[in-house]
Amino acid sequence: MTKKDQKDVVIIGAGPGGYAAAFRAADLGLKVTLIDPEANPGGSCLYYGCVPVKALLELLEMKEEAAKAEEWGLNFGDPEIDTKTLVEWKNKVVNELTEGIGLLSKERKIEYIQGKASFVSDKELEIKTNKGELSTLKFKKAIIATGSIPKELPDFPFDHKRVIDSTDALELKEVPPNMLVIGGGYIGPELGSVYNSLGSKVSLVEKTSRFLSWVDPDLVEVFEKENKGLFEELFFETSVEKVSIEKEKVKVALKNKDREWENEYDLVLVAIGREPHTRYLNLDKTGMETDEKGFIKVDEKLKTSRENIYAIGDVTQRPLFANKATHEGRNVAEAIAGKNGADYNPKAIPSIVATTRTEIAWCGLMETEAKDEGVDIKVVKFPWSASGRASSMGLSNGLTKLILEAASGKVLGGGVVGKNAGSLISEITMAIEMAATAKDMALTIHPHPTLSETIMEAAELFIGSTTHLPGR
Amino acid sequence: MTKTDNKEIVIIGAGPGGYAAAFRAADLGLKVTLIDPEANPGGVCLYRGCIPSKTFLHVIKVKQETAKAGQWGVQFKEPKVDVARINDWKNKVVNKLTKGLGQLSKGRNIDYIRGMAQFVSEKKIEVEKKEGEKITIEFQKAIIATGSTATALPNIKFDHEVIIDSTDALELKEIPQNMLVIGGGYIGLELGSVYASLGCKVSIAEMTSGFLPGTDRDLIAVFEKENEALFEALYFETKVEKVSVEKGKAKVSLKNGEGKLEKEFEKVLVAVGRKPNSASLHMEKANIKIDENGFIIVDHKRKTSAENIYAIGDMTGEPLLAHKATHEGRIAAEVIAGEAGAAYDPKAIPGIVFTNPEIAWCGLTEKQAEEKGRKIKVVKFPWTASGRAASAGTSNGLTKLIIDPETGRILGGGVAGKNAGVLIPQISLAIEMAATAKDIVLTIHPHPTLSETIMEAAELFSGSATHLPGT
Repeated sequence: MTKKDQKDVVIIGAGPGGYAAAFRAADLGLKVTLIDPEANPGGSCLYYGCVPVKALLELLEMKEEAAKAEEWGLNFGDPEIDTKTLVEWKNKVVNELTEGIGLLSKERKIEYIQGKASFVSDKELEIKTNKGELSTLKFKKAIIATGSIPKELPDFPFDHKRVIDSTDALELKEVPPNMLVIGGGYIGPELGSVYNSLGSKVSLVEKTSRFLSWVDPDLVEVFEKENKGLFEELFFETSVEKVSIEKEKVKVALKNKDREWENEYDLVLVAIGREPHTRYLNLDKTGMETDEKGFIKVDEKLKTSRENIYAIGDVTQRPLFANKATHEGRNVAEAIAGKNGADYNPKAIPSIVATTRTEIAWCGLMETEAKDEGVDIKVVKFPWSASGRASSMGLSNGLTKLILEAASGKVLGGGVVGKNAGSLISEITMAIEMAATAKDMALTIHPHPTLSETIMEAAELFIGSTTHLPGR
Repeated sequence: MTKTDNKEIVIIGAGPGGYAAAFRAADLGLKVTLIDPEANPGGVCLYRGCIPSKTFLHVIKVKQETAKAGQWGVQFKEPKVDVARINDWKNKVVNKLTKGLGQLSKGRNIDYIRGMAQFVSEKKIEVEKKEGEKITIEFQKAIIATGSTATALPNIKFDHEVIIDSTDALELKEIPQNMLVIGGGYIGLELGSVYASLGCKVSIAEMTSGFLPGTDRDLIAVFEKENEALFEALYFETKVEKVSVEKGKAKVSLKNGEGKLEKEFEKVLVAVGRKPNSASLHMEKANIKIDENGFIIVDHKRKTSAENIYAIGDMTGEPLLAHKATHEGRIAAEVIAGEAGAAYDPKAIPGIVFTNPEIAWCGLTEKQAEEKGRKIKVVKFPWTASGRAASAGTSNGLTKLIIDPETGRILGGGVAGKNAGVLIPQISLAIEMAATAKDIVLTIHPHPTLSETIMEAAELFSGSATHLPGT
């Protein structure tokens, strides 16, 4: 304990939530201290998550596309994949982006401390820098933005060699002959497809009956159909009973309603979800309330149960998305700077899951959710087999759907599956936030030929008939 | 003249405007007759325009993108290009889609007549059927949707061998050694890109000082930067004085501020624009008024000067785009069916040039605002600051919004970069919904996607954006 200081705003964690909050706060005239163990801001998303995954997917997707192009008159043969160059490229992307964010932080005169923070009280933090120096720091306001970490299997912790998490997987230290992915949520299919593309035989086990169990089944069905060839074996409604390592191999005991059996893999990727990263924060010293899963409780201003402490991003509640964290970060910064009306009140948070072959995306209310909640809805669907753009790209297995309020036609939710589906979801999100109706979507001229026409034509179904589907 | 018949609604031309009108009218309970010279609905867009060109452009995009991937660790061999197969693939796509439209038309019990129509009066047309038979049809309402054709240059006649139009170019019989494209608009750029990417040395001659006259220059710059090596030679502010065909080659005389230039090309693609396709319609017999460029004058219901005749699509004027035609077609059908409130009143019509990278825009452009003396605030987000662009190896890109400085309302937008076109529908919707910059900022955009560049551009209006230096 050497120095003492009182800061205006201290932000713990410099992921997309933390650095967005820091930058917005600085731009609004506040003096900001930002604390993170990495050399630069970026957090899981930039260092070990969204950005490196998308860099790999975007590149490996070309392999799929080139293979299809033979039918279109371009014969490439199989590409040679140089994993070392691939990893260097991925690291280069990550480094350039995080260094860029470091520069933006410096330019904004943000005090960046490379280290870890834990609470001493609701007014004071203890900081341990990466060099091991300890100090304490007093603050007027704090924002907790420490994000989340991968969940471990209950009885088998990561050894980070044979039983790995997503961070390890992105290192791409080896491409094993065969691997098992545990979990069919956001991360499993994405990383599974990356390893498949690099030459591994990838199997996937999932507790529920399908990928992305909380997303509407009609969308997931198309997603599964498109991705089928990527996986050696898919075990749904199957639980992992035991994991053990023997002679550099991982033995996995699996169980479903019919049988129990054992398989052997070179590598097991555990992608069963993430949990709030609060372990080292000593939240109890602040008297702050958390829920039963450890997420920090916040109000609509994202204030915790402590008057001067806010929390944003993955440590608060689901969904654990970078875009939600960024949005919250800017909001909190505005609230602290005294901006009127700054509130966290989104009507739709978009999600996208991508593999090397296809994408699935959704936002707002799902059909299944509406049924559970008793909302009177009308669902309209436009299959991509009727889209000229999809045909010209050699696609046909796609689907665009809108979930509409039955009485008014107001867009409440939407989902899209198919290649490039993610590019359509922003428009649907915007429609929901603007309280647009199906008629508004139908009367907005959409460019031809694009996949966005599938949104317009789905909307047309609400008011009667659409051009490229049979009349009624 | 053998039979006469009285029809409830006759639609002349079955392109994206005509067939959309026909399908909507049939779905609203009208008895529809649809007349077109092709075997199935589709029009220029499906047979000889948007669809075949985008099919080619998608194929060459795979070629262009895979060529970059070696530096990133995925080394593709130079592909073997089978031109005949590319052409077959395009034909397969076109056939599948047009046949599909034929079935949708049948399923709606639309009377499809394969032939060419001309007006006899305000109530009557004569149709020359494909097989030669002539019939006259009386109608209560008609919609003219005959679209447009390629404009020829005054002294240069298409021979469709050496001097070709876009339809010929889309036949892709062979890839010539070299080609001159006359016109740097979207057709010239798209088709020029296809041929260049397939190994042809393509030069472009354009009368004005740059590509896509009318489009904001900062967007064009993104395309130019990426495609410095794509074209053999670019002749801007250059007029094509003369083209003559000698021994199967085109001799071209070019003239610009520096003087005259004689060049020889294997092919010359003329892509200087399109004109309304009205030559054989005899619209004067129906008292339909046209403007000085030959476009039909219509009101906001798409009604012409003849009470019972409507016109849609390229025939009603700029922009000559399929999606405008489709929209007008549905509106005209609804007006005729008596739907309350049906009117043509778009605030934004998007345009996309499907080159690699793409150039796209909608609503008010910076240039238009300047011409009109309208006060605007322009916010720009360069893709160098986008995580998704970086992860796709495509940081050369730009997203801009044109905003009302008083209210923050979105008036227009433009995007240039790889896949830029996918961002435009959201901006169009924002304009139509009267969204403000703040509305866009407060809409959570998925991460990491290019759509975040729209959000961050909007953030600049009310202060600072996360991924750009503070203000």
